[in-house]
Amino acid sequence: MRVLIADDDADLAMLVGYSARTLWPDCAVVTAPDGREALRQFADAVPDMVILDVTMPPPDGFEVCRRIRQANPSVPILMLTARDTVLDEVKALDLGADDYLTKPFDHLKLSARLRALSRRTAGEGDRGAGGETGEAEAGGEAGLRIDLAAREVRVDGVPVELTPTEYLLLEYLARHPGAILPHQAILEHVWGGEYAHDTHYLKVFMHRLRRKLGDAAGHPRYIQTCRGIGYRFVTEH
Amino acid sequence: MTAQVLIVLLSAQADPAGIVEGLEAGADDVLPMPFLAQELVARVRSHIHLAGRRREAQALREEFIASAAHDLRTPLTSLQIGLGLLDAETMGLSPDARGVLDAVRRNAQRLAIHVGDLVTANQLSADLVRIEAERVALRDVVQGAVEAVQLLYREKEQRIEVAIAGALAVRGDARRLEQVLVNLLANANRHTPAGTLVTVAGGAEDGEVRVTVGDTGPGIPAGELERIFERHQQLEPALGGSGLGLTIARSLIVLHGGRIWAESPPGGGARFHIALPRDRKGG
Repeated sequence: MRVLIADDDADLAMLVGYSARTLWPDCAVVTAPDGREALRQFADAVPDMVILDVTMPPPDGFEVCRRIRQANPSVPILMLTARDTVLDEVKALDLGADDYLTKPFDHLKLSARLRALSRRTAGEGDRGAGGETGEAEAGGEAGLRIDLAAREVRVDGVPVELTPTEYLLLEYLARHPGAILPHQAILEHVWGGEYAHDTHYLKVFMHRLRRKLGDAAGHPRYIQTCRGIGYRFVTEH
Repeated sequence: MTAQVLIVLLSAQADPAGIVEGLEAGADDVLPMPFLAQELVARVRSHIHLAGRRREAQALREEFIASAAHDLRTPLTSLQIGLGLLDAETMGLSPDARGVLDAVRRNAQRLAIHVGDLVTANQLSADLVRIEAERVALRDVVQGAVEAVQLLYREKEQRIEVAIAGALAVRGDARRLEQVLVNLLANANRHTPAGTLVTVAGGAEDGEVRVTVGDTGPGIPAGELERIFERHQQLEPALGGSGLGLTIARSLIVLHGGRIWAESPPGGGARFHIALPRDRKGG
């Protein structure tokens, strides 16, 4: 396990690293004091997890997140931010971060987020009665196909690269075809119980997922919005 | 949006009273007729220039507040992580040393509340706080707030008793609502003697969700019940606090479309009530 921590505050970077090692004693921590070094370290160290502060010497955390996500669709990214508006959080998630933490936070909160992020990445969650094999599809032969064993997704025969969280979200919906899944149930299953009311996570990730699948909320091929309630995996048109 | 539209009133009334009337009605400028076309163009240009300067000033202010928030919250985060990592048990600290560690932890918690208030007060005065409403269970918010102040209560050997009926679903910003509850609980902690009980009661009635924080402190004089929500109005400055907590609580509750008020029953103590519109879709 290798964790890249980019923060211009050396003390905070060290403490976040220490906190990560209490969870994973063997993990190697690499730090970067600015965005440029973060990108260089990302290319050199090939980390298994990235923790980015938003405010740091250029490029800032948002831009670093965007570039890392372009280069690697699956590495989990946690953003640390002192900006406390939902818009900033949505921006971080929309650029490809998997999660964010608003400063100030303590060791327990950080550990909980790192653990949840690691769990989602490893795909260790309970995924229902469907088991780990089989396929799910929507939109007919030429539409969406999900290989549940290989965790591969194709749209019209073309592979789609999803982040681990995006994949878990799609898989959970696909395992309940035709059923309306409430927001809270999806959040609890994919993100964990402590996220049960964080509906903006769901909105942003659904937007990201639909964008990658070429689906539109207005004319859904695969995922239908049930306004104010939840989402439904569409199997027939 | 309409507040950003430039309104120049062309008026047949050239007298000062007519111009004043136009400006008071909301126009940015009043141009008495007849006028030269060049004058109209020059005035519009001037207003556009001024609007640009105002936008720049607002952007600078936003940047300053974001930068100050970062500079205050980053070292505070280091403090909180570091203190969380120090385990008095495994370090084999003496009782005195444990006392020192507890005091540092308490003060980090106090600092977190003050920094949060300072940043929010600036955000409010710069009109930067936007409530992104989501379904929120106020019961969970209360729980989070109680956890956030527990060290302050432990210091004074006070207890918090929570009696909430149901999830109390509202639409709001959970973090902002927690800040309100933390401020009310911190206020009760400061103004209540050691060893006493603070209660948090909640329920739904008449389409509203209500939460009440009650203490057994000295209470609030009738003439001060409104004034305590004003900026820097403290009944007992010696007890500490920034004097911002209740003002921020009121501003945040009003932004949620709710109400907040205080009462002081004849038997003593103070009660702070919050009423928020109930979320009809759940809980």
